[in-house]
Amino acid sequence: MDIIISNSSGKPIYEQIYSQIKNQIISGKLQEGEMLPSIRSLAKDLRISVITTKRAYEELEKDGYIYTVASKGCYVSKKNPEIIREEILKQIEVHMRKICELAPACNLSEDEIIEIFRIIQQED
Amino acid sequence: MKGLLLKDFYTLTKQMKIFLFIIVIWSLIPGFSVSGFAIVYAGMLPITALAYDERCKWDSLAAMMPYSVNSLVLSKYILGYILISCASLLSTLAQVIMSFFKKSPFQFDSFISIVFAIIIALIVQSINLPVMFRLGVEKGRYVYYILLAIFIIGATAVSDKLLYFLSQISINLYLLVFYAIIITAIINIISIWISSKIYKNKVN
Amino acid sequence: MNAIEVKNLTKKYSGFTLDNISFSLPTGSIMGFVGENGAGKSTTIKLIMNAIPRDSGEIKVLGLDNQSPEFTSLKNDIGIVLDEAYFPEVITAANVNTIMKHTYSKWSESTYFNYIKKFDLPINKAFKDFSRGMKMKLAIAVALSHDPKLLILDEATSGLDPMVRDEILDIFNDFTRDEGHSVLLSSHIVSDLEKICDYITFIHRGKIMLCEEKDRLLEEYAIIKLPKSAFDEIPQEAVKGKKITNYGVEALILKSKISPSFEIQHTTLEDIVLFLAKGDGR
Repeated sequence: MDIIISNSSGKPIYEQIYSQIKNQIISGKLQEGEMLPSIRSLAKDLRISVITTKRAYEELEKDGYIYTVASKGCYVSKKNPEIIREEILKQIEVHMRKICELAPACNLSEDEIIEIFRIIQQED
Repeated sequence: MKGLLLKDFYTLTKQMKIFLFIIVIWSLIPGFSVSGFAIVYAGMLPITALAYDERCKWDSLAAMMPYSVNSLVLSKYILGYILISCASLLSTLAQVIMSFFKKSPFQFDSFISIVFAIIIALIVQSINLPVMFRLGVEKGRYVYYILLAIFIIGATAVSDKLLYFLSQISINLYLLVFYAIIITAIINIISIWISSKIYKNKVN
Repeated sequence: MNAIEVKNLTKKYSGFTLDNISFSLPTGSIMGFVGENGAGKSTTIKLIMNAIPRDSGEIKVLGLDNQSPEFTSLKNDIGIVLDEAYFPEVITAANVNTIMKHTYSKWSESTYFNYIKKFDLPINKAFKDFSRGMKMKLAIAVALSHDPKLLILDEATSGLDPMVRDEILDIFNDFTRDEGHSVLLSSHIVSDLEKICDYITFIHRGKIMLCEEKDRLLEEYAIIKLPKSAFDEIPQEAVKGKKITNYGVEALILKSKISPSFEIQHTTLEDIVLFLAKGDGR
């Protein structure tokens, strides 16, 4: 498992852990049922705070990406299609917003945007 | 406690070598008052150990270890007792060997004088240690020198006369030794008690 | 449970008062104890170990009141490294082993000699011939070799070169892999503490200025740089410290108290400590 912590990014460390583990679960790099490193060993290996690591795991659990078996450890949850769908929709929305922001800058009409979308689809 | 004693023995290794040398030399000189001095010197070695402790701030470190104040204080007394015992044994041994070479039997008087030297050493130590715990070795050393001077003058001048005096009066010598031992024991117990009080109040 | 609990602790000296301080170190974590020289760190540590009497307050260590008679034997579970209390000059690392074997109930010779080897310390050299770094390493080896549950280190990394410091911080970090192990690490080198601590307690002139989770601190605080006119528009309760120059104002602010439209900079623990210590905030 790869986790890269950046101290200068300004992004809270727990968020960095949260999003990196989440992305690896969504992309399938971390498989369902796979055991995650314990909070303490991950914290010590990354040389970061135990509390911060715990916070990231708690967020992941709250959002349904992982589950905890008492006195055993944390495991990757069964992929919940709805959660994933929602997550992907969120990402699409982010990109859409970007398009909406950029489009007026060069007077792009709605039809023209759809046209670009079609062309890209045909390329694939 | 054993750890504390070991620490003191390690720091005193050099002193003990000199000490052994002194004992051997002095034992060769006839006359008990001098070999008695070696025994009293042994009783003063805990002060040297204390001086080393002060120099390296051992007290602050010892306070962090699983030792009670009482055992920190007591260890210095026990160190003295061990050293005094060793010095006495060596002195006795040296005198026995000397008398063997001189082909004269080991005098009972010499034995009694060693016992008195031990008693004096114990009393000197029991006065010295509370003073050192209270004032620190730096200032306490003046008291140490005064005591040392009094002792040397007293020991050389009085001890022979005292024995002579005792042999003149009709007091039982055994009884006298017995009383002296009891008094010494009481003085030591009081001294240890005072030292513990002083040590507890000193840290702040 | 807390490994250390200090409540309303006060100790007065002529010219210095440790003023009603409270903080606790949760078991399993590392707390950085920051403050300038003379801020009261060593006094606090001595009070925690009950090496000196306190005027008032309460202290619990590993769940036990430190004035109870059992505390003496509890010290077996506490590894200590002091800023300036050393072994007698003539003593060697081998002597230290023998002494400690008869001092600590759970002393491990093999652990000790492993550290001696790891730290590259001579076994039969007198302590007086050790460098500052070697002395500290020996003290750390001792502190780690009697199976402690709590490590208390007073300026253990100061005076060491950066490589050694890092090596030692790694050891403390590894020590807390066991969730029953805790560390209180006092230092005036803030960057060392930022590297490994879970919590930060900042003491300044005998008072606790701050006691918080390190990462939260870094999230909550930020640095802002503005011209003087713009600075006046910032709500004053957000400003925790400021530095005014001829060209503008640099300030430590609470992110939550200002509008997100301001351009803020990521802060470091050192910034926070420096701004708070200046004390001309609010």
